[in-house]
Amino acid sequence: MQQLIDIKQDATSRQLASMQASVQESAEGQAQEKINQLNQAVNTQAKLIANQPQWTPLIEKLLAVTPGGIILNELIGDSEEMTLKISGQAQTRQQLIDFQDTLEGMDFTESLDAPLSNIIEKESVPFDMTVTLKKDSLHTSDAQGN
Amino acid sequence: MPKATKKQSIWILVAIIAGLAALAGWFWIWPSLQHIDSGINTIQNQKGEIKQLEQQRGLAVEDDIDRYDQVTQNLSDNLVTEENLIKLIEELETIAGESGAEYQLSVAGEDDKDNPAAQKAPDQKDPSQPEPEQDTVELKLRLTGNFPQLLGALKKIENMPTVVNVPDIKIDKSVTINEGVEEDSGPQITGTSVTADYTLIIPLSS
Repeated sequence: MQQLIDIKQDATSRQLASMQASVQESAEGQAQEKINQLNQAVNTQAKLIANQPQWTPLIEKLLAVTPGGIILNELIGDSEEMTLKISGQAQTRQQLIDFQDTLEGMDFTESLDAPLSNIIEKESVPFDMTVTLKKDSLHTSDAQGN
Repeated sequence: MPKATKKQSIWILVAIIAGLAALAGWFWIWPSLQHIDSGINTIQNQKGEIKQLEQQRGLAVEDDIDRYDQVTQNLSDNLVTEENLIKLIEELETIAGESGAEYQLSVAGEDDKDNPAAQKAPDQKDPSQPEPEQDTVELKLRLTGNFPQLLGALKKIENMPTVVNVPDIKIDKSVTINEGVEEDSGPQITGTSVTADYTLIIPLSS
């Protein structure tokens, strides 16, 4: 009888130990697997969102500093080259020069390329210029700054 | 020493057997019974623990797993699959339609032959930029309307819950809207009708 009890107790002890290990492994294993999946999804999303250009904050800022004498005809933005090409017409040469100075001082501007031909005319001055944008200027937090 | 009678011998034998039985009970049967009782208690406790662990495995882990699944699912929902791409296209059409501008949505490379600014030659791309590993679909959205309409549509697209990249934009309020203007007469400004070409790159969920 005692032997039977001992045998039964051994069996349940083994079963218990096995269950404990199994529960722990199962929980850790499943959780680890889910964490890996989640990390992968988060990394993918973070990468995609980090590379998602936001043009509208930048354009709104550009419009906010464009004076009345300047008419913008064309905006071409390229997030790969990080450039914004602007063409339009200024009422006077001085207005265009002031506008260029303003753009050069904007927080999104890395550099401004404006050919001298822009300022040959004194009035009704057609212009083209290329703003090279700062590295992170197309991301929401930076573009909405200033 | 007087010899015991037969009756006395029997009683002595009974007494010896009873004594031996009592000793056996004291030294062997009683401890054994205690051991058995203790063993049964241990087994019952362990069975209780096993049952509890089974429940834990079934419930506690499931709670965590459910939470992980939910977060992962939410993240995955921000990416488009080939199956629900049509739904995203319909959303883009709705945004374009709601902006009040006329719109034309096309798959890149199919309808943009007349829109060279929106299409880059392969050799113009920066060779230092690695090709993305993610599968993508590239669309072209052309809107014609006034400037606030076009900017409003762009803003909505950029803020869609689904990841839609707008790597290139071209907003032009000159040539396309002036009929009868000679090509070399320079840009003509109306201020009321503007054309915007947006390149939309949609990452696909694998």
